[in-house]
Amino acid sequence: MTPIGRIVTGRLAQALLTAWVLATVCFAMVHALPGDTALRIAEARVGHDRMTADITDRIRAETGLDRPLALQYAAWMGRLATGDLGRSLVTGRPVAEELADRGRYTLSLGLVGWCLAYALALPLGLYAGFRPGSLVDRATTLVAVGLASLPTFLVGVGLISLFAVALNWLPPAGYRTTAHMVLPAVTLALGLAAYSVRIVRAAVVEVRTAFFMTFARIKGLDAVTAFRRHGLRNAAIPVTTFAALQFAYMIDGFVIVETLFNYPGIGDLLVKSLLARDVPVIMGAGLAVGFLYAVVNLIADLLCLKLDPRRAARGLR
Amino acid sequence: MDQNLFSRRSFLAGSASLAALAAAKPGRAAAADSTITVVQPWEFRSLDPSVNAFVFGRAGITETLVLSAPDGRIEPGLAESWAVSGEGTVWRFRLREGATFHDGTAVTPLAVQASFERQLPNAQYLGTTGIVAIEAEGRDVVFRLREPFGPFLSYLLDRSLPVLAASSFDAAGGVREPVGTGPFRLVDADLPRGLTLARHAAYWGGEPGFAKAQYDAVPNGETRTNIAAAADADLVLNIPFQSVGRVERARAMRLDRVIIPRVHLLVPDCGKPQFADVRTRRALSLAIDRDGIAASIMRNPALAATQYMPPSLPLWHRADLAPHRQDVEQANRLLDEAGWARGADGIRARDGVRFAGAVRTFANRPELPVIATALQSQFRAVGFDLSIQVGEWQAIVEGREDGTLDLGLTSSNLTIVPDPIAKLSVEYTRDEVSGAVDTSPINWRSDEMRRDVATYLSSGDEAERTLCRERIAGVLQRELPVIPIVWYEEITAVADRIQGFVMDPFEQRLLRREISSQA
Repeated sequence: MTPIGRIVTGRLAQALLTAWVLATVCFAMVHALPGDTALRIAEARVGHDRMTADITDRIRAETGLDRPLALQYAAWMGRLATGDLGRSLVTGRPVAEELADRGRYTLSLGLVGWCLAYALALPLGLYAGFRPGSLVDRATTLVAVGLASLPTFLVGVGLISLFAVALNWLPPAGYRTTAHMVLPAVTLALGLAAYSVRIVRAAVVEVRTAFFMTFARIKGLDAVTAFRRHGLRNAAIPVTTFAALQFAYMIDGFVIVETLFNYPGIGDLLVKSLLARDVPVIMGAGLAVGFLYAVVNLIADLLCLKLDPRRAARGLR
Repeated sequence: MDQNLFSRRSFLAGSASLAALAAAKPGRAAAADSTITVVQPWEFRSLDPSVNAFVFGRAGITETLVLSAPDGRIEPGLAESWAVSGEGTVWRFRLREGATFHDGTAVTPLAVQASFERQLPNAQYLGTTGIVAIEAEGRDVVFRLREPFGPFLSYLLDRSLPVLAASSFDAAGGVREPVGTGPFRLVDADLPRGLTLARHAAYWGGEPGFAKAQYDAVPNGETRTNIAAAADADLVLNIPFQSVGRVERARAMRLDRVIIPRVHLLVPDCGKPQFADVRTRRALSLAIDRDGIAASIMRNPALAATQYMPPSLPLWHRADLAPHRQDVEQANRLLDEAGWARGADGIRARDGVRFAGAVRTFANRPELPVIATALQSQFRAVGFDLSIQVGEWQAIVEGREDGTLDLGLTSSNLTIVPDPIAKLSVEYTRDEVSGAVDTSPINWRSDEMRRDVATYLSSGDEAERTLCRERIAGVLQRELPVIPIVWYEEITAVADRIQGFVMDPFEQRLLRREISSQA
């Protein structure tokens, strides 16, 4: 097997193991919480006002929540072995369907926000890295620190107040049209760009001061050519790793943004499922998020290998 | 020179392009005049009315034999008239001619009978009326009861049991989707986020004023406020009262406010020595500054709960009752009489029992923890030491089951069906109250109330029922098994183009016939 093949196989096995451990921890933690799970499921189904003991008892029996925990866990593992994540205790829909439904919203918004963040961060970071101490460098530092220290909901509220309420250009919340995606994507992008612009800048500054760059200039290459030929790949490695981490971070959703903009993503689903103790959804989400997180990191590692093939021989160290 | 690789001009141009890109999308597609858009806090969890009970009735998809008006009167629905005989055990409903289900089939007595029979096992309140048979006779549907049941019409409005077409049910007898008879039919369900409805052209009550209705679930109150401030819907329900000022300042939508039959109340465990004596419950009630809480926390002085039943229940609200009001001196006198003496720290005690307790409440209704804080300071003035525990509402239920609850601060919807007797009969007259309820009295019993509730349920004589209502309201006021604090109001933001909107305090139907859009 090639070194890359070994890395991919090893990482995929690790991903599966991580996902299973994560789902099991979710199961244990939800059941360790004090209080009656059936009561919470019942409330999530019919609402606080219509609660009765009959409804709770019926749900307890029909969902199997009255069985011993070991049996419930074994049943879940048995279903999982056949590729079935089970059904939500609240909505009755298959967990896979729930995750796919919410996942497409989270991934599309996350992808747009992430691309927008790097559309801002790459040029600004490169410019600042090429002109450290310049007005643009100082301004981006100031704005990045400001955005990083602002809670996301404040950024979102500010954007809503300006673009939805005052100017009436964009809808304040929702998910049905492309226009609905603009404000949440920009809110996400500003939060992500605040960190990534500094990472890009630091990578560029570091590479530009490296000995091999000085050597390239002595060799007679102009600054642009030297950076394109020798600097870009080296600067791209930390940026790629960080960008992948940021993208992976978004897989489990961005609860604040989803809540503020009423955007139906995984984060929103997870929070509601946790409050309702919807165990199959929580476990399914744990499994899916853990696996996707590992896959995104694997892709980042493969990209880094492509940028620096020497790492394959060192086993990605 | 390397610094020229990225010029300032190119950055400015790039930034401008991004801004233009963001601005290029129109903010919101102007809804066609014939579409009404509604934003509400409740998600659409299921297409089964027995689960998502009131959503489909409220949206005008489903209805039943009778309807309720915003003033609480029962009006003809799918039945154009009704009669009761057999000493109150036979209810005969004459069906309206020409009514059809959304799938085009006729609303026949047989179809109505089948619908009731299929759903009755899941009916929460109608199932308690003692129905022994449902029959189709000519144009009539007949309900035979085990014994007389006076408020049967109100119980028919149990929203978990609408009249549905046969095509609503799957092979196992479950509801696949609600094919009802209301003015709107379900076109698309994007669970749990939204419903798209279209006008039911053959509706027996005449075509509704809108060809389409779009319902969106937005659980977060602040997000609904943003939508109202930006006027991005025609109706935005349940605007948080803390956000009213923001919607008013935006001047994009007008606000409709109505006090609904809901009360925020304190539920003491009457079995504990601090609350067993009615004088201590009265003293605590007298310590509460309801006007202050209503004005400063609920932002509406009219919400001070001077009695359990709000004025939106005209048959139950008694103007002649001495109102609950703050009187700290009287409260202290009552506690002195009851033998609770103040200690050095100002907190009372009797027989080694400290006059103290913890109140459990929850933050789903954000005003409740704030009210708890107000009560903490007001109770201290009469020598009661109140500590506050904020968690899930289920902690109240769990506390009452394991005996650890002193007081619960919660919110009670009095009209799951339009007559509060349904609530009272379940929560105030049984020794074993449902273990999932956080609003019923704890360790309290009134034989007088049990007798009156039983008489009310069995009597068809309106004069007798009126007397029962008066006596029940009197017991609640006197005995204080639960201590009402404030009533609740439903605040709806209404777009300027919408005319004739009337909020139904009973929350039975949102888009009534009178509503239309301005040309």
